[in-house]
Amino acid sequence: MEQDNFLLEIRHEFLEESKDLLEQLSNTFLDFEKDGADSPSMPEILRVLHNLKGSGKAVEFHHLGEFAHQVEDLFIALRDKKLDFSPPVISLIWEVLDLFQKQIEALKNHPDNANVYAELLQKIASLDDKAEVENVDEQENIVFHNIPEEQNKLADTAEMSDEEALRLMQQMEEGTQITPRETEEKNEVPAVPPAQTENAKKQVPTTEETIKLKLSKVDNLLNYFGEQVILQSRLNYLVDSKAEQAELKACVSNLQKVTFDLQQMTINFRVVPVAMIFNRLERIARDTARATGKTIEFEKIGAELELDKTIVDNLFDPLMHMVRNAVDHGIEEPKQRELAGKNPIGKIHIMAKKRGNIFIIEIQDDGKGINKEIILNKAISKGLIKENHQLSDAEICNLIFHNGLSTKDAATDISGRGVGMDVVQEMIKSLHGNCQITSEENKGSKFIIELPMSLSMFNGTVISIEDKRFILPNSEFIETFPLNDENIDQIDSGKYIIERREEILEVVFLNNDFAKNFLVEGLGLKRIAAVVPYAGKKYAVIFDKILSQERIMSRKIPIDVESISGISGGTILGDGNVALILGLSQLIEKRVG
Amino acid sequence: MLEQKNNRYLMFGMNDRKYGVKLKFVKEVVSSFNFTEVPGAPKYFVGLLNIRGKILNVIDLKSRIKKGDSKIEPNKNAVIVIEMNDHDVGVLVEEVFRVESIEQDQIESVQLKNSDNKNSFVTDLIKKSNIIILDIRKVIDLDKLIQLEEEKSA
Repeated sequence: MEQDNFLLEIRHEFLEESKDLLEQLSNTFLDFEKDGADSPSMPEILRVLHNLKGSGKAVEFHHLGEFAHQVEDLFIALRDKKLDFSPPVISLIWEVLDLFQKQIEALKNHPDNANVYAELLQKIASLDDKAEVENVDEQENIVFHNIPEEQNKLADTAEMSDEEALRLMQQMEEGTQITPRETEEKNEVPAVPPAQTENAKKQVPTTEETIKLKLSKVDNLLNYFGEQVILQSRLNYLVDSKAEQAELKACVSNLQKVTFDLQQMTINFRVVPVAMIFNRLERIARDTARATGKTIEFEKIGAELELDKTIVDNLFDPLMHMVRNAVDHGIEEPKQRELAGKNPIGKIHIMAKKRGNIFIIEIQDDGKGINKEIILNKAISKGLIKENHQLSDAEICNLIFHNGLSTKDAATDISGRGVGMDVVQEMIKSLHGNCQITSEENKGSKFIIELPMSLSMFNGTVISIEDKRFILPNSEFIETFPLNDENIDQIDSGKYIIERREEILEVVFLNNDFAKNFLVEGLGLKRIAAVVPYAGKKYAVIFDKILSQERIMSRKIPIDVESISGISGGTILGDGNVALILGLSQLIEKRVG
Repeated sequence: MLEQKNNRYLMFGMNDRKYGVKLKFVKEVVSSFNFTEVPGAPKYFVGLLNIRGKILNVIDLKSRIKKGDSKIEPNKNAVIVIEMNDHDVGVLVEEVFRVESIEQDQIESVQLKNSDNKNSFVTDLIKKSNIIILDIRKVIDLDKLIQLEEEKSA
């Protein structure tokens, strides 16, 4: 039984590690694709594949290991010029990398299955046939299908190229963590009786996510923490000895500073560069371009900027849809572009930047832009808007975030897989961000996504509505301004509007749920409005007072109140009471539909 | 020796009646508190409470078991923190008395009329003193309670 647990444990470690390795592999291969078989990244690729093969087998994912072995051979053939670095090979390799990535996820909960690899193995084999690879040695123990499950296989696989890989590793100057010793250990993994293996194969327990930290970061944390402990005991001493107020104040302010730094430092443990997803997006863009017969140039700016890991992880899906859409629906075919007097190579541009405490991602294409006519007609035919609407261009563009308004009539295989922009919007909102689009016909479209830097810590405004306090996340509104009677009007439909900077804002009251007497009659009182963008329009959310600006540490609320009333979480204020964090866009969605 | 005895109960009062909960489910009793109301939450949900940096749900026991709403009188009321599987939940009661040991032979299990027992919060009765023992976890289990309400309204 102990062995069982041991296997599960090392499997989990392997899968976590492989995720990183594959990330690395994809990135390296992007360079490789540009430089060809002589790429300086070849040893790196071989090392990663070798590691996947060896470790995979060591944790008894034999099919995966075997597959990695075949892929490794493929790369060796490329390196030795026994195989041409041709477009079909490139796309095959991308398929391989995708399968690896898929399997690493799948293996968390499912047993390793030979059939998954069969198709690609066959493709690789047919390449090898053409190229007449002479790697007899390496092919010795290759069985394409029905690879036997027996344990004793473990000992004699992977030996031939171990030496070669070791040599490679030694060549590489950067000290990666793989040491020859580890490679030897893999062969020493005790053979587990088949019965137990069956058992262990069922599942790798889903354990918590892990991140890698530089040791220096942890040391730094310890140093600061030590300082905090010293200050704390000094404070105790000052209190006990009834010291002067001034001395106490100085100590408290020092403590405050250290606490703030500690907080920042701890939050920084959670950040990763967005390069991780930008590189994957580049791949998606290229794949999509290839599949749709378009040529594109993909530009990444600000990939080194760092953002909370949870946000980065959750951003990939929405960004992926946007990039696919941009290539599939935005960029025109080369001929069309030439006719329109554009460079036949389409340009996709993704940029990360910071503004204060807000993280901004922009995805821009120079394609045909959004056809506002089509969107409008569709929205009218679906009854989303009236024919005599008075929507601004920005509002019309943002209609694409509405459910069921995908304009390309025949959904293509690339981006029309049922996930529309409404889902994208939903996903961004769940990260406390917002997403806007601007578009100009024949010049292209631009998505602007604004996000908080961290989900657990953000700058917020403490406001009051009657006697209750709430938090507005600063990333969710543009500005606040004091209300006075003159700038409020009631329009025919009974709605209230405010004119502000030559724009019309629709007024949103935080009515009954939030406060009993907070209705129209209160408008004359001195109140504050926060300007919140939502679906291309701006809304004014009205409350009583701004109390303070604070760094808000978000806490989970134990019940699912989010669905109830546009509340996204809670926090504990300085006086020890709980305050609720408002999810402004959910709130507006609920009020205006 | 340190093993908690299973026959100890925390006694509390509500509607001039005495109730008991198994002490092993009780994590602590909080006597001073300040709730934060949650707009739009169900009526039995009193609000959120900060207990040493953790945010706790507090439900009103009286309103929960359909005996009206508790008047919040901070000098008298108390919140009993109950340990649940995934998170703790606070239960607002009118008054907390003390911990009592009750011998097994004094406890009588209750079969309520007109109700199928699986949905009942009341499990036992203490003979003589007529103290009602509540299955407090069943009271709290929000999912089941919401289901219950749906069944009733259906």
